[in-house]
Amino acid sequence: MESRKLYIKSMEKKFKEKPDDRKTQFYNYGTWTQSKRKTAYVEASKKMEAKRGIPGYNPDVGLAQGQRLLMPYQLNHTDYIVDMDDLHFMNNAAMQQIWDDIRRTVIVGMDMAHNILEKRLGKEVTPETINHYLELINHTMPGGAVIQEHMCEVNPELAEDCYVKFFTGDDELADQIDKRFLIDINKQFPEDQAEKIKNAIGKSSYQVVRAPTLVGRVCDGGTISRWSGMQIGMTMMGAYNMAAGEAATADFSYAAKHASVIGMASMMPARRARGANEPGGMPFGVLADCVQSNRLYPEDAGRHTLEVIAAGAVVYDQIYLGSYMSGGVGFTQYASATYTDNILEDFVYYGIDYIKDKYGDFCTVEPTVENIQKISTDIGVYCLETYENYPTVMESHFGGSQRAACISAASGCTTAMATGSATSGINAWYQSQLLHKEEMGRLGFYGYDLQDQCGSSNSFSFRSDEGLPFEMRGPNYPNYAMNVGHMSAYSGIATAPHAARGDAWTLSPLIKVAFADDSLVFDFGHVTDCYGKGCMREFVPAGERDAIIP
Amino acid sequence: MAYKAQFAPGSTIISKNRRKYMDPDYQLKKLRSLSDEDIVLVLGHRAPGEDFKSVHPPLEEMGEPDCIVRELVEPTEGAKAGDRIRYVQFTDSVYSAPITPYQRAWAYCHRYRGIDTGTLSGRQIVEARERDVEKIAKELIETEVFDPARTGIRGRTVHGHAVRLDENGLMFDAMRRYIFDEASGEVKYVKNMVGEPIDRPVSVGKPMADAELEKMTTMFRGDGVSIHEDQEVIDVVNAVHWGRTFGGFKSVNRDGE
Amino acid sequence: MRVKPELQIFPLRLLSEKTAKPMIDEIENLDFVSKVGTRGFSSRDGVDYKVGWIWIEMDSDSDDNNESIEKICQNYIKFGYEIQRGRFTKYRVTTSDYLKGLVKEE
Repeated sequence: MESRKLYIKSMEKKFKEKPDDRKTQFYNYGTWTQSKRKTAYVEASKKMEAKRGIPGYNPDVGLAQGQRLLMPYQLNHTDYIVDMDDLHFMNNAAMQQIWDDIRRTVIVGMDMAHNILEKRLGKEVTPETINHYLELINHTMPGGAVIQEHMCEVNPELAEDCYVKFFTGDDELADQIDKRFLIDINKQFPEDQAEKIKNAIGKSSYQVVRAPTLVGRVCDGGTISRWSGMQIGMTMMGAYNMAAGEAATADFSYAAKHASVIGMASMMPARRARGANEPGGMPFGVLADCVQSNRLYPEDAGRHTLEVIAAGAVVYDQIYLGSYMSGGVGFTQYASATYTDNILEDFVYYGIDYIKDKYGDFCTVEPTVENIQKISTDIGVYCLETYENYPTVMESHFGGSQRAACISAASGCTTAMATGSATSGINAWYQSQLLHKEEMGRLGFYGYDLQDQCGSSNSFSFRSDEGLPFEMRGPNYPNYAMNVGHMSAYSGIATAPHAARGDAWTLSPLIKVAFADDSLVFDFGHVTDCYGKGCMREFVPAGERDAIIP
Repeated sequence: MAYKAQFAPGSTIISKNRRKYMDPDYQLKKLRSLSDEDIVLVLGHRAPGEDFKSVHPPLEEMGEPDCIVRELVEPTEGAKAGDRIRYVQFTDSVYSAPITPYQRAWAYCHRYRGIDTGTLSGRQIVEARERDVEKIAKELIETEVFDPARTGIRGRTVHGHAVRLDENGLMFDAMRRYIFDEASGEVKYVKNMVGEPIDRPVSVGKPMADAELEKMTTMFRGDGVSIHEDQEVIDVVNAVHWGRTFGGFKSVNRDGE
Repeated sequence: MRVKPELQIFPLRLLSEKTAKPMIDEIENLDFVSKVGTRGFSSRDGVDYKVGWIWIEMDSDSDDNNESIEKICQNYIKFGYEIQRGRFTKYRVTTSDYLKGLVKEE
């Protein structure tokens, strides 16, 4: 079967002529060494020491001209070509914002509160009262006062990114909600997906709270639901003319802070030394539902899978394992291997073509051990031999861990798409790792495959302390917490079967809808593209403090 | 013992080589000679002629406690003497080096006592008492598991296993521990394992021709022997995978259904 | 902003300085070539470097231009190479250029 060879990229596009507004700027492109039109910056200092001492990896210089040269990276399915340094999350405002936007989101159901109002307090809840509530909560959530006099309020400029929106599965109710606050399921999703979502949600209604990015920065993830709960409580009292502190207030507090709350990430055990609502507690399926390409490109299962992988690479590998749990600069290239240079791209689309070619369609293959092993082997060997037949690809992924992640990601995602089962997919990932080790006689870093040697055993095992359907697993799943270079692909494997089947969501329709919101700062519908904007210094993040600094 | 060790599955030359290197009854073929001093220079743990440093007195002098395990296990020479633990580390190019990281680990565990080995993709290390590790290193460098061009003796800055070869067919080394002597066609180490210059070059001989390496290597390659040609290897991988999968799922049901 | 096409020359062996320098000089002298960039691997002590990638930015991607480059490759590289067409190097400023103080705005 012919491979698309997406890594041998020919971008034979014509670029549109634009007015040259960079005439007066000149600078040195990191990767260019000899230029016919030398500029003042191109000095002749031939050899430069590599500054960054990542053991075993050598950021290299060629015929240097006073410039540290970096390998250019192309971001998967974009035209952005960037330096490695642009991909460190510290240098990239978009990468910072993807995590900010996820962490500062909290979904709070409204049914419980409405029930309290109607049954305990005899007040009427109508679309009009809901609209009034929504207007009020959008005042209080960024830090406006509503009940008491003489309160300190937050400068709105610091909370421009803060708002509260609303969604429901009830079309009749949705029609009457103020459009400024509504996440309109019918408008945001293709028809078939919208139907599935509305059926799943039913007549319930939810508010989606985005706390200010700045709150998460000064405080932590655990603060978000408190900030939200506080303001929701106050607003309920304001909107429905309640006493500020009657017995029923406790019901609202409880609902707004706990019972009706859906956070993005759960708490973790004490040994992780981390609070709640941080990346370690976020299941793969949740991340998958934050990413929106399946509703924007419903025909392209590969794209959605790859976009989720790109999101997972930054959130789980770079930010969580690479910073929360270890810090420093070592992890960027483990993550970037999965979303640059169109290598994993090629592998995944090969897998898709393979399924169509051999089986006709997605989700038609029975998840027997024979089928899982056959698909995983065929895809795994294709990827291995691509590295071996094309030195360009082998050298781009110079580390065994990078190759291991991409090869097994392809095996896992393909098997998941073929069988319609993420559990089969992750089982295939592990088979692929074992095969890789046998084929090459090497695998990853020292300890890379700790989880891969146990993984076959825990794929289909759902025990009380160690086992879950794969979409519900997350970084804190016992063995995943250890090693980088896995969880980006795990996110992809969780979502691949759903993308293939055309499902409207991976784990939760509520999270899917909550992130189908054009007002978000990060573009969850175009993940690598948004990273690219961050690399180009074109991305405007939230949480800037210009209003309060000299 | 009723069980005869099989070492590794497969029928291709790759698998045959793997079995050879793992089987302690197979004597690794000597391809070159290095003097003991050569080895000492390249390893860089001590100066030639220098005594081994000790971390404890000889075991005989120490008077060990009564312990059945100590009685059963014969200490290595290095342990008896009280040597430090030192190491030798190799990098194997993906371009058909004779042996690969995991093969090393498995071969070492079958052939050598008193070792601790660690495996990565870009390097593979074995640690042992200093005089023991010198013996091990000598065998590993003198025999067929070492190719002057495709195997590197590297303690650090190991980058190069996945990088293209240079014009002479040598694996890239950022620390330039070895040079290619055009006149004699030999590869010579001019620095020790951690990149410190040594007093005199140590020759490790001429690189083997590609045709030779293809017959000696233990790695499957898309442009060499594909793993698809060796079904038994795939079958064993799948048997391990299935055994583990099923064992985790419903190990009480032995029928495997 | 018009982005010029590039060729990437990927030799199947790393080129020594002795081989690469005259080759790159020759490429640079072609009139349709606007920029040549290289990347490779250098030794820590700075004595030795090997060229792994050569990126040639051209005014246009014509068959004649490509052929001229091919001829030069065939002349200098005896152990095989790959040539790819497209865009391989940065053509815009990125964040890290700003961070390194490389962007001069007038």
